[in-house]
Amino acid sequence: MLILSFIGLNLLIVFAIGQIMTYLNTGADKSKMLNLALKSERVYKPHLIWRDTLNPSRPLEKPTQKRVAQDYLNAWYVREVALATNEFKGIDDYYTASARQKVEHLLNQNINALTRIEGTSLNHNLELEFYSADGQFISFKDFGVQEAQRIFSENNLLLQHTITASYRVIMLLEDGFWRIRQLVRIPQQDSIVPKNQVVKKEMPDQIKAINYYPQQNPWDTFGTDFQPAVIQTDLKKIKDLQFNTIRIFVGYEDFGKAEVTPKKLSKLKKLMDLADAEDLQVIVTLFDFYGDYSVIDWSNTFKHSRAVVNALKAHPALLAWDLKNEPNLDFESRDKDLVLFWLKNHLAYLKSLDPATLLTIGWSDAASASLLLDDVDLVSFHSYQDFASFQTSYEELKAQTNKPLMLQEFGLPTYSGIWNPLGADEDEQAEYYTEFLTFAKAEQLHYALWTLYDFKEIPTAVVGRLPWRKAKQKHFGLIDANGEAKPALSIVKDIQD
Amino acid sequence: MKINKAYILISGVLLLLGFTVIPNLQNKVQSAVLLTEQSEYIVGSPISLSFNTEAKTTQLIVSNALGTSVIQAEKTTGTDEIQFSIAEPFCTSSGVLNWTLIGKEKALLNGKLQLKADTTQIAKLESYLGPQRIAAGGEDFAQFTILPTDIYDNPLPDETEISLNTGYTSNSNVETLKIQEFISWKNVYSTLKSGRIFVAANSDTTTSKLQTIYVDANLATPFKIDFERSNTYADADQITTLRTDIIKDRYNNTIPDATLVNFVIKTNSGAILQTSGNTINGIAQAQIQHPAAPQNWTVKAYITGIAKSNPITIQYQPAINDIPVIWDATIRKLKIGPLNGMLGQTLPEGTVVSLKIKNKIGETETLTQKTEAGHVAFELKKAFYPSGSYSLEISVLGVSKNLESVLFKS
Repeated sequence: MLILSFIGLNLLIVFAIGQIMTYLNTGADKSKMLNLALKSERVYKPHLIWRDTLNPSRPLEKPTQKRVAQDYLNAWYVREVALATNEFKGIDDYYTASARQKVEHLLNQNINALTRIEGTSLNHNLELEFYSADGQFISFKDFGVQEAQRIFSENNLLLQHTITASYRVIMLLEDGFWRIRQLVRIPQQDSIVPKNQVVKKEMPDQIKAINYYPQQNPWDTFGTDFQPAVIQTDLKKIKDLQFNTIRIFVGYEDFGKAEVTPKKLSKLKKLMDLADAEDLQVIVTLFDFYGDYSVIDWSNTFKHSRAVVNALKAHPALLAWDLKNEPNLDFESRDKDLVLFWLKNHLAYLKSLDPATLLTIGWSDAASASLLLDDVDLVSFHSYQDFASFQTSYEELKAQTNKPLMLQEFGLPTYSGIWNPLGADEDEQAEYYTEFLTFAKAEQLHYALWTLYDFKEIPTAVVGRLPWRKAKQKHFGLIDANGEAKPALSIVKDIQD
Repeated sequence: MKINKAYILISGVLLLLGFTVIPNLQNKVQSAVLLTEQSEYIVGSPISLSFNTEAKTTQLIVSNALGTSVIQAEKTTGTDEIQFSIAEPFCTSSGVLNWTLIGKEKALLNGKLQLKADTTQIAKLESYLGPQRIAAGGEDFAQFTILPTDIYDNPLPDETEISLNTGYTSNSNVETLKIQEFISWKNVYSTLKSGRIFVAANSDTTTSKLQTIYVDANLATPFKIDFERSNTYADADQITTLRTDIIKDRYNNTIPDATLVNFVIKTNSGAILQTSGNTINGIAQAQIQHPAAPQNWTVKAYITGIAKSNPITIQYQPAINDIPVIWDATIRKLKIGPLNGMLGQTLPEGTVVSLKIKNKIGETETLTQKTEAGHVAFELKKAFYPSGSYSLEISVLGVSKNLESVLFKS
């Protein structure tokens, strides 16, 4: 017994020493010695272009061009973060001693005055002025920088706005960093971009659309189960039902956030090609499952839009960009002002990228649809209410605008069971559609049904975990899970014909 | 009608601000008028903006390149007039300053001021020079960049003049530079002679740091080499020193110290030997041991990729005349020595003597020994070499002696 406890004690001591040694050996990571760790994933991605790199001194090498741009963006980023948090992290790395002094002076004032600024820049257009012969000194102009700002005083939002400014920048290469030595706001140059009058795409007489997901992979149209053959069959069916448009969803994370995955884009293009072949138009809903909106994330969302919009804006099947599905549902959790600020500026950005395509927002109710009326071309809202309540809210909205309206999601689930014993049956669904579609036809109201199929599985992200919600969401289709047409199917076809 | 007015005002403000979402739009719209007329200031001078507004709580948002801050209204003098004084660091930073007047969490007015650097006194002439070492001849240059700033570290406006002084030996040169886009720069070209150029910028009030440009000799031109040795013999012992003359560039400047010179030696048997040295005062030297056999060397020196020398030849004579040999057949011992050099001196200890043994049917074997006091001995044992007639060849320092039909007895 004594021996056993002796051995046990020894083992414990050896273990303890081992732990101490391990702890002592976990020092600084060697990879951090050379500032390499900073090259990890970039989080700040405003659209930066070098408009001109000619200068009277040394030609600007490509790697330097990239490095300067990156460090310049980093300098902006650390300052935006500092202004938002009133902490000084990273300022040392990207500002020289004398520039740092000025920035810190300002930050200290803001700390004392309890002022905080959430801001970001969205674009940078650099024009080189001078790059020294020894490659240690660079000066350039940054034109037309758009900055979004939310200014808080004592935690109250004072103002949120975007400004456009131009800067002259001098940076020095110190310790392997390009650091800002001088940053001065200079008078704006007149806009050099000629404002072309772009003709908006023509609005169809009536958009008769259906919200589309493949039956086997709802909410994941462009995932690994993407099957062009299945989609083609579905689109033929949709065309045959006399629809002229489909509405699809591009997930923000699914498509790679700021770095849009080319594979996903090509799947999206493929779907649009198939739609075009069937003479169907497409409303593309962007930013599905996105919910951040914070100003510092804007450069990422803008980059995402840039990639998607530029890839698809010339596509013949493209009818409209639906910026965001039901953003009003985020008002409570994300602050209404912030969400509206993002929406408004993002619509403006989409318009600048693609002036021809119609813009809309898929509000979840008609009441919210009166927001940002001036910024959309098509006012979209959803309604899962009964006909009477729908009609009231529709009339209210109609009175507020002359812009075309779209009932962008509506439908009735045919589910009655353990979670909802009083749910509608398939005949009631047929009646529902008869009522709505007859009304829409008479009103020339654009619309999109929810949806073609009943689904077997609903991802938790869509309606949450609650089984009664999921059960309901599974049964909105015109065609049931076994592929059998519900009575509503032929009704829809007849009315649309 | 009232609604109409309000609508025009709201859209006016919206238009001014670009895309601005104003919280709480439903509140009564208030107006403001800017009373201050001045819109251009010199940094450091007090800036205050006055407004006439009925808004009760007001703030002024100011922003420049450094960032954004909020300023509280200073005094309400019973009237509708309010005042904001813009303090440091905003009043001391040059460039555009944008302001927005906020009343009850709404933007009422906005505008901008232009702040100019204080050109009355240049406080600092920050200068950058690179590269610091350049090559003589007038083609290479160092760039001198000046970033002048005022006392608040603001860059100075275009056309501000600074003078640039350049000094070389006793000559000095002054010229006037103008600031353009915050900076001013000048390429200082090298002189024909190597040496140092001093550069400094100055204004009425201040001087920059004195910068030094080192002008080094340009590329080396072809040069000559020579050699030195204590004797001419191929004794594998003495050392030959190879040496260049003073290597110069085309402007007669001695090339920088520590330039590497490679001496490449081709022997008459086709082998290549190499040795190298670094220059001191333009001269490089390298040493190499004498060969172990009479040879003719051709030597050429190179500064790789830049210059080469003339070829020289060095001849090495045999180091010995004769090889005295005694063969003692009874104890089968070959005694060699005394081996003496050309001057009668005993060959250095450890000189290699090789013995090639060939039997009747042409099989050969080579044995080597090193001398001790000029002597070596080979004992050729019966167990290895059966009785018979052999031919022996002895070589020392490239000199050979043959012994034919030597009888090995049992």
